[in-house]
Amino acid sequence: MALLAAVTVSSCSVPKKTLLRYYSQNQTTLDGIEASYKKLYAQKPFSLGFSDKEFNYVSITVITDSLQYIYEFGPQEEARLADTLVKYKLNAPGIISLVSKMRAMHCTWINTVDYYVAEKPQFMIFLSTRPVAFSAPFGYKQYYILAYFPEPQYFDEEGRLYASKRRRRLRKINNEVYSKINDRVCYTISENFR
Amino acid sequence: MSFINHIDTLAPSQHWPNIPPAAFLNNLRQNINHPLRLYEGISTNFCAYAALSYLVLHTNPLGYAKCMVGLYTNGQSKMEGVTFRPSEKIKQVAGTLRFKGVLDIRPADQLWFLCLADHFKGYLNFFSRRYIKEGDEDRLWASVNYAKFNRMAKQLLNLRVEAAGSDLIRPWISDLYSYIHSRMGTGTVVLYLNNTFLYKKSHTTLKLGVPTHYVVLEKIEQDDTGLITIVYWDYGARSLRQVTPAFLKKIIFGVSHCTQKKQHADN
Repeated sequence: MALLAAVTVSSCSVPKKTLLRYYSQNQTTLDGIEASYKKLYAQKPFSLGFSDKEFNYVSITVITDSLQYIYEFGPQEEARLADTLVKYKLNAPGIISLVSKMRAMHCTWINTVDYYVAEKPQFMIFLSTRPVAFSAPFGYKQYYILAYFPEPQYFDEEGRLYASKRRRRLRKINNEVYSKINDRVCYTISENFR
Repeated sequence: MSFINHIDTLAPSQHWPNIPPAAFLNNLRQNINHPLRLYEGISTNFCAYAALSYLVLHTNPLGYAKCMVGLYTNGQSKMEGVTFRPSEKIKQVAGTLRFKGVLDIRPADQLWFLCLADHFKGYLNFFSRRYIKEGDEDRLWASVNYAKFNRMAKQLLNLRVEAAGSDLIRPWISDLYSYIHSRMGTGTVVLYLNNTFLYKKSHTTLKLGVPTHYVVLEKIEQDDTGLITIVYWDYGARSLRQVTPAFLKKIIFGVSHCTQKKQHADN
């Protein structure tokens, strides 16, 4: 029982420096995924992820003015995925390439999140990954979450993300506190990938 | 809409120090013109109040507008048989909720959701009856059990609510699709769902088997293969997805069929 508790506790407290090392080792690929998504999203809004831990099932939400179309495609359904992307006038080759890149990097989810600064809407990109090293037995499944902001953000001495220059309130995203990687990119470790 | 259009300006309210009148009126106009854009906020427990507001904005927008203006100007107001007398804490908090997406800039919606949560209580609110600190909107204080949701719809809208289901046990209906489909033509159907399956957020195999989310169903159709297409409203947008009958049965814990009992006196 004590062993079980010890394994669980150790798997909960994934060191932040592991995450920073992970980002630094994979920065080019992760930033490339963010850049590809940003470009594709500008053409037509969507969010993308994997609904299973084996990265076989692609989940895509196509966002239109009147409806959000939520689809899931299994491993044998690449043709159906491509047809659906074409049907909604999405950039099919671009998104299929993004799916491959995300699968290779074990990225579980990418979407655009709105936030507000002085009553004005801003948009950041939310990218979650599930490195294999995290699959500790009996442990919580934890995800590395990266938040890509369009503008440099405000941080305190501990590197925590703040909502404004005055640093009165921490800026939370999905109720999580984020920390600095660089001026525009922040991270947290979460139990949820979206 | 003409009621709201006739109100050019409101004086800043002493009751709601963090809600500027112009932003309040703008928010009200937006809700009445675009009721589907109503947004419960990221990570809050306001989904039931948002589903209820969908019903309010579609069935009694005038009553809603009068109630909201009354709340803003007098600090209390009445809608159907319900009198809202929000606590001082609520009055201080409304307009200050942040990091909830577009709810950040919609002070009237913050006021409305907080007033609903402050007024209506169910057994889930037993240990958290008062709003005490920032973040209570994400916790048990704002949670809504199934009986409470149906009671709110009955009292606030004078609707007839036929409810099937509960907080722990799924409705005892063999053909769920036919049951729901048959009720779509005669009223509004609100579904009480297990959100961990509807919006998967982690890959853990052990999931809490209880419902936590309310959506308004707008359309349901079954094709020749048996696949069911549902169109539902939540989080300020309509979503379409295809599900199997087994998945539908797995996620649904409550089906509330809301029909008009009488015409609203205000109309």
